[in-house]
Amino acid sequence: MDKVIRKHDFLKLLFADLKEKYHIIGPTRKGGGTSTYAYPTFDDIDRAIDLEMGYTTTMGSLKKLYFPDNEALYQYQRVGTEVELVNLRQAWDKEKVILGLHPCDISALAVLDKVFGLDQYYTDKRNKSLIIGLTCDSACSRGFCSSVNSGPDAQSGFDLLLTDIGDGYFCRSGSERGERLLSLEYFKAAAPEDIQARAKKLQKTEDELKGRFSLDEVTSALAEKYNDSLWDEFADKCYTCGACNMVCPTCTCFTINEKAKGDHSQGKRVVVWDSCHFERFAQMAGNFNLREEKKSRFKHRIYDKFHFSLVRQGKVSCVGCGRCADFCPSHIDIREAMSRL
Amino acid sequence: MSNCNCEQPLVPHIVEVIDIVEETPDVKSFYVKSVGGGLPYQVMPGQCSMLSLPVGEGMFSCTWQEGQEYQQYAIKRVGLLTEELHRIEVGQKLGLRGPYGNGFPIETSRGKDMLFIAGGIGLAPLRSFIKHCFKNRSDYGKITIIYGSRSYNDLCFKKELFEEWPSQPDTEVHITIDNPEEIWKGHVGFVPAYVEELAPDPAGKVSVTCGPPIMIKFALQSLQKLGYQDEQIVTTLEMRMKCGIGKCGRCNIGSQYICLDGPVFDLTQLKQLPQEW
Repeated sequence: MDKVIRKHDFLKLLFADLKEKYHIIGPTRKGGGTSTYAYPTFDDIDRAIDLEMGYTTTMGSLKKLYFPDNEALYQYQRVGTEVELVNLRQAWDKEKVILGLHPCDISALAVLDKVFGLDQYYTDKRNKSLIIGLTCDSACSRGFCSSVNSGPDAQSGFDLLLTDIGDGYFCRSGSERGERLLSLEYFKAAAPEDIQARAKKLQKTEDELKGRFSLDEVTSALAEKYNDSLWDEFADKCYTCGACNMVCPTCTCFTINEKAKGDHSQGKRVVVWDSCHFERFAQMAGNFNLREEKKSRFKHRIYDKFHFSLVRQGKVSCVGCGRCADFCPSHIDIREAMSRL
Repeated sequence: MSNCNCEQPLVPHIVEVIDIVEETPDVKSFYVKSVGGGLPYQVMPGQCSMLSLPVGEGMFSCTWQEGQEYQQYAIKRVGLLTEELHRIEVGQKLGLRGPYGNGFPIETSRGKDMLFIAGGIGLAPLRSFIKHCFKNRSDYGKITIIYGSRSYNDLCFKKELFEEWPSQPDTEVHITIDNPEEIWKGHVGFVPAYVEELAPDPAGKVSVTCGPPIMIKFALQSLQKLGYQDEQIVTTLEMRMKCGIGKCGRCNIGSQYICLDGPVFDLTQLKQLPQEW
């Protein structure tokens, strides 16, 4: 179902209605000049004024919400020969609405679903989320969503998908929950010119994105060039800092750490984000390391996104958000690397 | 039992250690059963479990046979968790989750001659397959076991190696140690070289190898030299794992997850993976 809402109604009426039932998460730069980063981020929104719907990209993706960077699984206690476990994971007490999620990040949620879909806490959080997406006004600087089928339009994965058409938002529903929302009185029927405005907006973004990346060329190059000497050159620039993994909306590697008392009588087992770029990531017993060389770790990440995932799931796991290139301290842009392969 | 929520895949069950046997100076076997008795779960030869104590978790291969009410884990003392495991006593509760992995090709190997090649603690995973063969003796042909260790003291499962297995019908057990020792009258040298020296005929055989990564590498080369075809060469790659369920991204080589698709692979499959193992 397609409808239109005036921006004023969106910020005043819809926001107020949503706030009554949901905990609202959206792009924001709240804190302004005093905040740590100059980038918008997904955070709790109490006031509509804090929403920054015109944002281009965020530093962190939404994955932290469903796959926290540091989540205690359970607590254990050892008394003599007895070991006792206490569950430490927590479910959301209130449903959340995610406002303004771009199509690349909507696609990224589908990748997370494949990885964590069996985990009941994860599924519970996903079920308690209402996704109100937002298509991009223009292409971001290093994104290539249109080349990996994750933008600039989205076909699924949202309850409602907004497109800024000037004085209002064009709203398309993607679920029953979305349709119910559209039946509220401040959503008006979409006129033919609204539909046209949406198409024009998306076409503009699509045109800007054109030619940024050729998935077919990359996947066929990767299939053949595993041992190419260019990999040495690419990896040479990599600091193995793991920033790309942290900002990536589909990187899900983790480690399980112990946070324990010195005598290990009591502690917690904690899931923490990990990076395949870290030297000890694939360290085995007996001082054997699967990927000791920086090059092999660098290559592993690229292959995991564009080749292994294709072999395994029939779909690349990169959504083309461009964050890894935006936030690499060594300015490595995987598009550039792969175009040279 | 525990008040954990066991529908979460990363949360272990609590089991109890019912016996501990010292196999070598740095290898102990732990026998575990569910708290209150009974088998925690069935495990096929070659499959693994995640064992944990309040210092950490680790993946270990399990030995279990049909009818047994307990599982057995032979564990070498190498790091933080295994040191702690070596300190515990009978009655200790442990965390356990599994079973993980595909296991050995017990079905497709039926009717074939078996060649088992192991080094050090690498005999532990193979032992479950070897025991399976002996229990179903008529299902398998001739059984050849080639096993080596750093020293005589480091040879695991001595009673089985020197008494039980050699006395089985149509079975050969060849043992070697790395360096000469006064008490040792047998063969001296590394396992791959011994395999080449013994040169077991590839005809109608399935070879299964486990040991330190470097030994596996050379043993597989030796087998190829002897004329074994890729599909006759089976090995188990037990990598360090964190989750065991194909999520944490630690153990995958190429598109294959050791914890889901492995740990058991034949050389045909291994050749399709990046040469990282």
